[in-house]
Amino acid sequence: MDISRLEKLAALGGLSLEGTDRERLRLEISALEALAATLPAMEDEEEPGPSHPAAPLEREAADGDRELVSDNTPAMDGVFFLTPGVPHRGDRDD
Amino acid sequence: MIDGPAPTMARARRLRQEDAAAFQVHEYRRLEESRARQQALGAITHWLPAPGATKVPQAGPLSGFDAALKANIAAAGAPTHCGSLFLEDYRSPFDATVVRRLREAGVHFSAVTAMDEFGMGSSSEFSQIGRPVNPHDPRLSAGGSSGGSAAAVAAGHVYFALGSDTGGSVRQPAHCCGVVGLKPTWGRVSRHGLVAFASSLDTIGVLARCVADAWDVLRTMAGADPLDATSQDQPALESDYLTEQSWRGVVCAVPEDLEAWDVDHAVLAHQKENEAHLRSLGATLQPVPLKRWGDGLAIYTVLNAAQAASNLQRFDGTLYGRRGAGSSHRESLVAGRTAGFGPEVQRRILLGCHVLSGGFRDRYYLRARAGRQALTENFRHLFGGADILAGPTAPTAAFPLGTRLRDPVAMRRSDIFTVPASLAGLPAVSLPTGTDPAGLPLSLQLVAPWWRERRLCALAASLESSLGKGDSRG
Repeated sequence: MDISRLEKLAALGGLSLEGTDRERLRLEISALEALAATLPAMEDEEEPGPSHPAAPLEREAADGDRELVSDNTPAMDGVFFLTPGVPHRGDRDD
Repeated sequence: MIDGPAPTMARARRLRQEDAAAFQVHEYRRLEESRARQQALGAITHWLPAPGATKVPQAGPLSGFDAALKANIAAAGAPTHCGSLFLEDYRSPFDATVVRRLREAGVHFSAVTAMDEFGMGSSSEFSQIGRPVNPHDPRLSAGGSSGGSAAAVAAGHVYFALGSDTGGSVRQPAHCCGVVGLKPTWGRVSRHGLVAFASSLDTIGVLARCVADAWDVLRTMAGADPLDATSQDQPALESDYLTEQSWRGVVCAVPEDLEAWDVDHAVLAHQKENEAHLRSLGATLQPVPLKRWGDGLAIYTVLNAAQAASNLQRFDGTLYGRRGAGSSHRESLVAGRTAGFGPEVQRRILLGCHVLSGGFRDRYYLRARAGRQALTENFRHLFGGADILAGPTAPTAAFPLGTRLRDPVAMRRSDIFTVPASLAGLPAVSLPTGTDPAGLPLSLQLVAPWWRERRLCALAASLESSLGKGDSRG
């Protein structure tokens, strides 16, 4: 990974690469890519919606058949930004 | 370093009833000795003042017990530093829901514990504020990221401690320090007041000296919370004392292919001993392949980095933490974050930006989410035929400090057996069940179906009791 790519990532992350061990960072990115490469490729890239892991994978359709719910992953896209936490924007307003 | 067992809450209640004055003397000595030992142990970063007598409910079910909280859980006026120089001076203006509920039950939070910065690590060595060592041997890691909480409980500083578990951060340090580590179902316990790391994985858990104590704490702090939309409205955990449950007839899944997982010989041998013991208690063992678990670390690494990078964007120095020097908002933001965040946190932010960036999101993040769904379905299938899963908590006993700092893969492998339950949102408990030839603690991890904490704890307590441990200890 070239330095300009690392600098772009740092800009996205609100960080400076000054003082960063770049070799270690490259090693980490390579390790992550190697790990991610072991994951099975998806048949389609459609993004599933969030739900709780305990939610059923199937639900009853209008015609009485069982149909798959699109997702069973508690991945929380669009929600985790709102998860109450500390520190959190707005917590100090009251 | 442990020179005399501290009592469990159950035993302390009995001692208090038998002779209140003698118990008070015992408590005074415990606290004095504990504070003297703390310098060497490094588990506690801050001691908190005792509350005024009128502020502690004298009749609360947990009245008279002191506890510690991990530095990423808010308590009014206490440092919520998350192990980070960025939040070194931050004091929370309010109590987390779990802290409020436990205070209402009579708990006194006496200490804040050291942790890997923002929960990122498995040895607590990535802490910038306090670095705990293992109470059994100061050359060894206490585990992480709730290493300070585990060490504080093991050393008898407190009766129990709160931790957070994103990929094993309660169970793995519990294993390293020889205490009980309980992670509830994702959604069982409110996270209002927990500093978010990877929100689809974060849970608040308990470190305690026996299962009954962990259960007492869990049922006190569990339940839906209007301040956390992700907490679930499940039936309350029964308020009566945990009744042990027989293992007779319980179908217990056990890993059939552990040898392929690069697990230490001592851990392998101990798992065989545990399986024989469970069989002797009447459980029916059902070997199951763990092949899906192999994806767990990859899935976890991607999701964790992506969500951490998003969550930590809120730390811009405007409302919280350090603000660096600079002629523009952008410059001061970058300067503050670069100076305040440690190297591991910075690396994870950069990794998160990488996996979420254009062209990589499908290849990494969405693929990881699909893998998580498959893993969850794998568990659902497993629990269609088994009541519980029993395997090692970690592939090794506590490891020497410094040995995994330069090797991210080795560090991540510490969590290889804890990550799958986190990804599926399942409840799990790490129970100390023996020691390796060097005398270091080894554990059994029990994983139950969603929302079955009561049965999980009842079976764990029964196993604990059969091993001569539990609330009679101390």
